[in-house]
Order: sequence, then C-alpha cells, then structure tokens
Amino acid sequence: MPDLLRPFRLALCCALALGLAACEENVPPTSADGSSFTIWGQLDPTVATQAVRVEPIAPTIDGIAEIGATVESEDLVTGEVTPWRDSLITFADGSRGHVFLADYQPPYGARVEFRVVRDGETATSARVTVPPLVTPFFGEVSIGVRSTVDLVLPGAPRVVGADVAYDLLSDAGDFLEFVEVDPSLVTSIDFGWRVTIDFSRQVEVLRGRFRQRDINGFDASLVRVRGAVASEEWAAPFPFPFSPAFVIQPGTVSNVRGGFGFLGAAYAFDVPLEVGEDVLNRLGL
Amino acid sequence: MRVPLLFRLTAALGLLFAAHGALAQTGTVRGFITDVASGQPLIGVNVLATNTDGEGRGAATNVDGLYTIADLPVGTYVLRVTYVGYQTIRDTVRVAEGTELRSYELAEGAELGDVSVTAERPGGAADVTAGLQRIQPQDIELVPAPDVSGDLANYLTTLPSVVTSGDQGGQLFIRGGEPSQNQVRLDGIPIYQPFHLLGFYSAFPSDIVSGVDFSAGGYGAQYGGFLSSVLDVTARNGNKRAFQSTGSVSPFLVAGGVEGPLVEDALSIMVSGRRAVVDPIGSEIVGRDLPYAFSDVFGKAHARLSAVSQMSVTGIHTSDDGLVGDPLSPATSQLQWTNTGAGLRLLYLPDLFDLTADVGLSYSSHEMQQGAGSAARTSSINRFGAEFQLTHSARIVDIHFGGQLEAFELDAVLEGLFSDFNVERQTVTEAAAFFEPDFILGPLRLRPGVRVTSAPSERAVFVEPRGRAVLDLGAHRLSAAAGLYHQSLVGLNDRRDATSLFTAWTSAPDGRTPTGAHFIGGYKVRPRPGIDLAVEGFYKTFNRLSVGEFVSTPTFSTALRRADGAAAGADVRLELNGSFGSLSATYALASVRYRTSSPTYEVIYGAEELAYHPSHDRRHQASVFGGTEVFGFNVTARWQYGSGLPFSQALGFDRFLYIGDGPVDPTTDAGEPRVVYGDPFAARLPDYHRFDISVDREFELGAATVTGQIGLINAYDRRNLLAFDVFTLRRTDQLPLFPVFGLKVDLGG
Repeated sequence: MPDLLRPFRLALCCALALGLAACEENVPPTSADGSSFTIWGQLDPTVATQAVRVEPIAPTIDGIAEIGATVESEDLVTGEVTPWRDSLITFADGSRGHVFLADYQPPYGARVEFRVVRDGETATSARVTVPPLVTPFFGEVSIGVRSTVDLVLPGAPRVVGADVAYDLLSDAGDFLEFVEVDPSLVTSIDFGWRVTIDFSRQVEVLRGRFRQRDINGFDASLVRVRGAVASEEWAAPFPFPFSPAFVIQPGTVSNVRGGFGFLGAAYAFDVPLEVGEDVLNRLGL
Repeated sequence: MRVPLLFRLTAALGLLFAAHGALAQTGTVRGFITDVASGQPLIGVNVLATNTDGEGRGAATNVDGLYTIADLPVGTYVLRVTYVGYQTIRDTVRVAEGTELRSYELAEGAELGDVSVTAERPGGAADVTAGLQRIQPQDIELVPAPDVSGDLANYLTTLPSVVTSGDQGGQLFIRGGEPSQNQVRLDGIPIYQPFHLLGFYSAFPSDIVSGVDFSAGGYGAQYGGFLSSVLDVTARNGNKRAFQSTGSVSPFLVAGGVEGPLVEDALSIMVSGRRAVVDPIGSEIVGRDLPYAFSDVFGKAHARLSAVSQMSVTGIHTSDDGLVGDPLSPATSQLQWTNTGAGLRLLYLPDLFDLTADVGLSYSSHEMQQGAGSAARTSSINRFGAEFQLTHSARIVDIHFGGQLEAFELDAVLEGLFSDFNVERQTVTEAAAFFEPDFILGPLRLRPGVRVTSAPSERAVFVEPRGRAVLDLGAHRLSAAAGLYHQSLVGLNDRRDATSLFTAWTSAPDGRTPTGAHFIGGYKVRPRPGIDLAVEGFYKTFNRLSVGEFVSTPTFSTALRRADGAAAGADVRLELNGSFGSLSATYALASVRYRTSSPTYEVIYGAEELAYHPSHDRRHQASVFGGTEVFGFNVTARWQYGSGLPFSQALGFDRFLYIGDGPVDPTTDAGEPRVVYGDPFAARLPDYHRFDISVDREFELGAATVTGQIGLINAYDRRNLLAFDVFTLRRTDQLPLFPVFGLKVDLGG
C-alpha cells in the first residue's frame, strides 16, 4: 500500500509556501502616468489673447501640480506656430488648474492644430476650424398662437448657447434677465443656422420666474439676442442632444486625440431685437 | 390547449401502466431503509435481490431512503441490504404479482467485504456525473469552518464549478451563471438568497442537511424556471427514537437545536437556530469592524402516516443585515434581506402500477433592501407553488412525470437604479409539466426528458428538451447532459460595482425572457480503490440577459441593455480516500463572455457592440482540502486559490468643463472632478488565495458529547481584496487572519 498521506503533506506544504510567498498585492487604481491630457476651451477670432485649460490625466483625484509639458498651436494654412504660456490658476472653489494663454488672434476660417508636447513628442492634440464671420439678420415675424421671429445667421457652421436678454424694470431698479432659447429651436438651414425666438414661450418663462416679484415690464428697445457662432466640432454626437449625463462621458463631443476634452472655436454674437413697437405690442410684449 | 395536453399525457401513461400491469407475471419489491437508532432515511443504500439461480437485480435508495426493484419474475429472492458503515441485512422474500413492501432498519457496524451494487462511493468532490454532484453532510465536515459545525456554503466554495466574489456578500456564480440564476430549494421550498453575508454560512448548516443534489448545469426536466444551476437540499427528518439537543458557540455565531419523537417511530420534530455574533465578538478579536448580523431558524416535522405514506412540514426563516463594500458609504453598502419559507410534502406509494407519488405545496417570501430611510431600494417576491411527481418503475425504465403550478407577486422600489426601467407590483403565473423516462440498459443509463412551461402572464410557451446519459463501466464512467432552459423571473443587478448586491426581482424586462442551453461532458475513473479522478467540460449559453449599460464615468443610474453570454470551461477533480483520511484537489479553467450593444457605445467605445468578461469571470480556480486524524484530533485544512476577477480600471482623473451651453471661460470655470474609466472589466484584480485550518476533538462528558475546536481562518493573513473605490482609493478587504475557537455540546441521541 503506498503512502497516501504523502501527497496530503506535500499539498499542504505547497499551499503554505505559495501563500507565504505573496501575502498582499496592491491594486493599480488607474493606468494614468501623466502622459496624456484633457483639453477644454475654444479659440476666439474676436480677441487677441486665447485661453485653453490643459489638465493632465492624473492617477489620483487630487491631480498633478506639475504639468511637465509645453503647448503650441499651428495655423495649418500659413504654417505659423504660436507658443502658449502656462498659468497655474487658483479657482474660486480652491482648486487649481493649468490655463495656457497665447497672444494670438486666429483669423476667421483658419484651420488650427493645438498641441500639448511632452518630451518633444505631441502627447495630445486637437484640430479645429475657426468659423467665418457672419452677419445675422432677422426674418419675418410670425404672429399667432405661438408668436415667433427668426434670427438668421448665414454661413454659420453652428450656433450654440442662444438666449434672449431683457432689461427688466422694477421699483428696485432695472436689471438684466436672460431666457434661454430652446435648443430644438436652434436649427440648421441650407445656408447657415436659424434661431427661432418663441416670444410666447419667452414671456411664459419670465412670468414664471417673477410671479412673486414686482416687475413693471421691460425696455423693449433693449431686448437682445445672444449666442455664439461655433465651429463644426461643436456638433452633439448622434443621436444625443447636449445632455450633461452623456456629454460628461469622456470621448463624446471630442475632437481631441491622445487625450480627452474638447477644443472648439467660437465667437459671440449679440444683436438687438430689431422689430417695431407695433409688432412688440401685437406680440403682447 | 395546455390542459387537454396534460390530460392526454396522463391518460396515455395510465393506459401504459395498466397494460403493463395486466400483462406482466412479475412483482415489485420496494420499501424504506432507515437508521435503527434515529429513524433517519439512509441515502444510497444498496439493495440486491437474488433469485435461486443466483441472478440478481438491485437498486439504491433515494433521498427518502426509498428503493424499488420492479418487474421481478415471480419467485423467491434473497434481499441483501448493504451500506458502508452499517451491518448488512439478508432477508428472504417471496415475490408474487403486485407489490411487496419490505422496509428495513440498519444498525451501525462495519461489515467489510460486501459487494456494492453501485460502483462508486457516494459523495466526494470527484463524484460528479455530467454536472450533478451528490453532497452529503460528511463531505461538508471535511472543510475547515469558523465554528464546530460545518455549513453547505463553506463546502460549495471549494468546488471548481463555483465562483465567489469573496467571503462577504453571499454571491455564488456557478459555471458562468449569476447568483439570481441559481435555483435553491430546501425540501422543495425555493429560497431566493440562501447565502448569508459571510461566505462561510448559508441557510443550510450541516446539522440539518440529509443530502444535497447540486447540478452545476444540464439538470433534468424536473427542474425549471432558472437558467444556470440547481441546489436541491433535503433536510433531515429528526430523530424518531430519542430526543437529542445540541448547542455551540464560536466567535462567529451561536447555534442550538433540538430534535426528537413527538410520537415514537411515527412523528418527529426538529428545530434549530443560529445567530451571528461576529459583531461585536469577532470584531474585538481581529480589531476591525465586521458589521455582519445574520440569523436563521429552521423547523421540520415528519410523520410516517402509514407504511406507504409519509408527510413532512418544513419551515425556515433567515435574516441578514450588514455593510458590504465601503463602510463610509452606508447608502449603497448597507444591505438587508430576509427569506421565509414553508412547505408541505406528501410521499405516497399507492398499490397501483408501482407508482410513487410525491406531492408538495410551498410558500416562499424574500425581501431585500439597500440603504435606509426614504431613499432605500427595496425588492420583494412572494411565491406560492404546488407540484407533483409520479414515478412508475419497470424493469428497464423508471418513468417520471409531473407538473408544477407557481404564482408570484413581485414588488420593488428601485429609486432610479435603472434610468429606463422600474418595477411595479406584478403578478406572474407559470404552469409546467414534464415527462422524463429513466432507462437503465445494462451499463448505460439514458434519461431523455422534456419540460413544457406555459407562462400566461408572458403569453409564452417554452418547450425544453433535456437529456442525460451515463455509461458506467466499473472503474470508468462517461457521462453527458444537455438541455434548454429559460427564466421567467429575473434578478436585476447593477454589476458595474462589485459590491452592488441589491437584486430586484421582476418579470423579464420588455418581454426578454432569458433563455439558455447547457452542454456537459465528463469522464471519471477510479484507477484503484481510494483514488477517484474526474474531468468535466461544459459550455453554457445565456441569451437575452439584462445588464446595466456601461458609461465611462460613474453614474448613479444606468439603463438596461440586452446581453447574450457564453461560458465554457473544464475542471479536474482528484479525491484520495484511505486510512490516512481524505484529500481532495480541484482545478477549474473557465471563461465567461458577454456581448451587449447600445447606441452610446458607438460614441464612447467606437463600436455599437461591446464584448466583455463580466465581473465573475474567474479564469483559474483551485482548491485543496481534506481531513486526517492526528493523535486523536481531527484536523481539516483547505487552501483556496482564484485568479483575479475583472474590474473596470480607471484611466485616470481629470476635470470636466460643460461645453453644452456654449463657450466656456477656462480662466474662471474650475470644472468638476471626473474619473475616466477604461473599457469595462478590462483589468483584473489581484489573485485571491487563503489557507484555513481547524483542529477539533470530541470528548465524552457523562451524557454529553463535547467537541472543542481551534483553528485559523486565512492562516497566513493574505490581504484579499473585496472591492476598491477608485475615487477615494479606499480598499475593502476580505477577512484577515482570524483565530477561531469553538465549543459544541451534544446531548442525547
């Protein structure tokens, strides 16, 4: 009869040896090594100084203080390369972040590559096309169950963040109030974009906000329509609108390579509502 | 349409049985085999009937201790009743036409040299036949436990077909299936979450277990409604000869029980209960919070109504309350659940067509809650079921035929767990019938079957063929099983988080009733007495599952997406038994893969379809366990290894500036901190391994038997990871080195 106890003892010894050999292993919480970056911002052809946030992908939520990279941009049409300078900013919430600044005013319609360079290599980059200069105009006023007026932006690649500013009158003094234009009413047309202002809805929103306050009306001559003419990169990913829950996902709405975030190009428009007093009266404003 | 079909089948069977009985010049011998000291049924007893020419036919007893030798030619036979560890009984029987009832009581006492009808020793890790393993209490006792008495859950974790996510949470994944896809029954009563918060314990302490049929897949037509596995537990009946009581204490729990005859030899009762004391006693020992409270109470009354009929009433209640995961986030980690079940079972041997009739009624209730207060998530399921099974025994075939009717009431408050799905109060009904002949053709045993299920509330009918074949060639045994399965009630989890154990029971979302198929093949060899080696391969499919949608940042809520999965693998089991004791070694290689799709994946991952290994895809698993006697002390030891489970590793942290409303000002907008996940479950946690050892010894102190135990759980203090919070970098570990010491006192019996 063989010694059947032998394998039992052997197995026990092996188990103990294996176990004692490695009593603890740490979990690598992230695979980040600080070599790729998140970019947030936009190029603005109307200002002489540009600002873009550059955030290293950090292994901990506390982030990385030292960015260890340089930033440059290149006009892909002219070949002009612009160096950007680092600025470590402390924000209102106490957090700190790297904002890169450049004395650079991109021309309308320019194609620009933005690069974060680490160890001489481009770690993260984004390409963006600056929108052309557009001249907005108002279309016909429609008065009915829903009274609307269109602001047309011919040649605009995209329009984002449209709202209407009202100069409200109250006993305590005048103040500005902004009412967002429903994103579904900001639509593309054959030759540009159109912002449809639904006055019925706008007034409804204003009344809802100030139901409890003594508002005496607003100065109709100071009503303005605002927003931004934005680059094509600002497109919401199909089939989603700009919902915070989805847009927060890294990789969505992103033209960034080798990292995350978004770099667009945009400039603001701010046009007074050019409709006559009689029309305003008929609109109930 | 369904009821007439049922009637037609019944009528056809009746005619078949009647014709068979009318034509035959044969008789049947059957009866119950019980332990003389306790009246307990003995499982796996061999009964051999030999005629005057020396020709023999045999049978083995089932979980009720019932044997049936059918279609014996009329004549005189010598019955020999043999069982390992018991004295053999020989009896002479005159078999006439009809049924002869012969029940026997066996007394303990070895009688070596008897021939066994069945070649293999019942029980043991290597005794697996196409996914089916019969577990006996003595198997459970081989695994070191934190207290003197063993528990079925502790044994199951040693099996190569079972994956656990850790020693907390009570989640068992069986050959690719999820915990909610495992059917667990106690005396026919479904128990929906039978495993306690601490992985050593379940609702089934070894003291109450008579036998367990554990099918890791490929189970027969008798079972339905679950997709992955069946754990069918039969409880002991209680001592019908004498009262006995037991009590035990350990740093993990205190337990007690009493059983005995209310009417000697006719009616027994058994009551037991356990309560965890690991918080605060265990916490004090290891200097770490162990916030786990659980308890269970079990009771069973069993009556022999006559020589041919038995009835039992079983009741059980379990309760769990604790923190699983990050104790600093009680809103998500606090978990409570209860199970309540009651059942009545009637076993009757009518003197008609050699039938065995098994009728059961059962009620089950399960409630689960995550968090507390008004934001708590809750889920409840109430089930009432009635079932019957008829077995007709003939010379080469046992015909099993039965039906089941179930009604469920479901309710849940999910508090936004799924963004596109909510559970309202639901009532679901199902009716099923099955037909499953069991042919015994010399060494070949074939068990083809079919189960037909009608789900009126889903307007669906499922016809599911099942099959099992075993070729027993003495030392060699080949086996295979296959079948189609469905699961009408699904347990929804958000498995994006390893510690998210909350399960919401509901009918299949959007009518997507999950379906699956199992294929299992195995080979077992006994090269010499005391050595068993078994190899099994399996392939399972899981279709139309509902899984949480992946996104690459943490979200409170998730959408449900359809997934299809497949699991494949193989395991090897070696068992050595001898005078030294016993030693089992197992190894499993497995892979589980899910495929799912969502329009969002196109944007996030670049393709609408996403394939991934879910969080329970353990690639390698091994265990070595056994017991021996050293200087009168019983020593058991277990080493367990599991390769790392998948988890979603973060790529890193950055800040997010919301650009949906237009241009942002990077000089003033601080943004929000954000974690960026990589591909789902693409990384692996560290390997898991642990060594447990226990030493115990019995002492006789007057009328009492006292068992003392000392041991070490996680003897080399391996820091095994349970969960890791990538936001806070806090890790939640499994149990550290835990010295245990227990005392058990048995009185009477």
